[in-house]
Amino acid sequence: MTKGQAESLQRQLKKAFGGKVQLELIDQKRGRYRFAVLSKRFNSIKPLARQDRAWKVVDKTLPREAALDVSLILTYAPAELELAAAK
Amino acid sequence: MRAVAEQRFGDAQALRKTGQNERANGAVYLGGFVIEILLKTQLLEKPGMGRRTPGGGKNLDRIRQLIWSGHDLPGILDELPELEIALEEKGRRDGRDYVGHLKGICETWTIQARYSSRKIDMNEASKFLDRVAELKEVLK
Repeated sequence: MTKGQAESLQRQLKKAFGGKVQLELIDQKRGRYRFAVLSKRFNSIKPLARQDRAWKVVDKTLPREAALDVSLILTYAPAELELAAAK
Repeated sequence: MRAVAEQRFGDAQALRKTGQNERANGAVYLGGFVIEILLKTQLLEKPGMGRRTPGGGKNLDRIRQLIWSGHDLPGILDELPELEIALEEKGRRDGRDYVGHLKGICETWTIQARYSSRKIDMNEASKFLDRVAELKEVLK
């Protein structure tokens, strides 16, 4: 996907979930990006459901071919990170 | 670290290209490192991972051990549940069993392989490296 498409997806993920959305170009040649979303809204959403919602945003935002260039979408809930840190 | 993972994969590929069964153990040994490095990168980049908490959690010591002193791939994977879920979803979309392959490698590959007298052939090593190559693309 193009840099513009990646940034557009970043904006749409931010709009959908709030919090912080990071993108990283992981394969310059192929234009592949990875996204990480850290949002309080995920505190009450199960991990698989987060994935469903995040990929729905992808499918709404990007053409199918560009969606293939999304490597992973990591979804973090602050509450879980607190728990992990306190183990 | 991702660049190092690519280099180790290149090393493993060079051994595979020889086609010699005598090089198969070395190819698998190096291929396992590719996965180890990429998982450790994921752990390093996880938000808030490894911080000392007011409650005095032991997690910082555990994370340091996992990243800098150990080669405990199942232990690293345990700290990355969100990665497993993301891989599951990506695999579903791509029609690939990324999680199954990753778990398989984490459970079977060990740094102790360097001491193993068990000989594998290049066919087996090639299958292993094909899975590493596939995983490398989604883990990096």
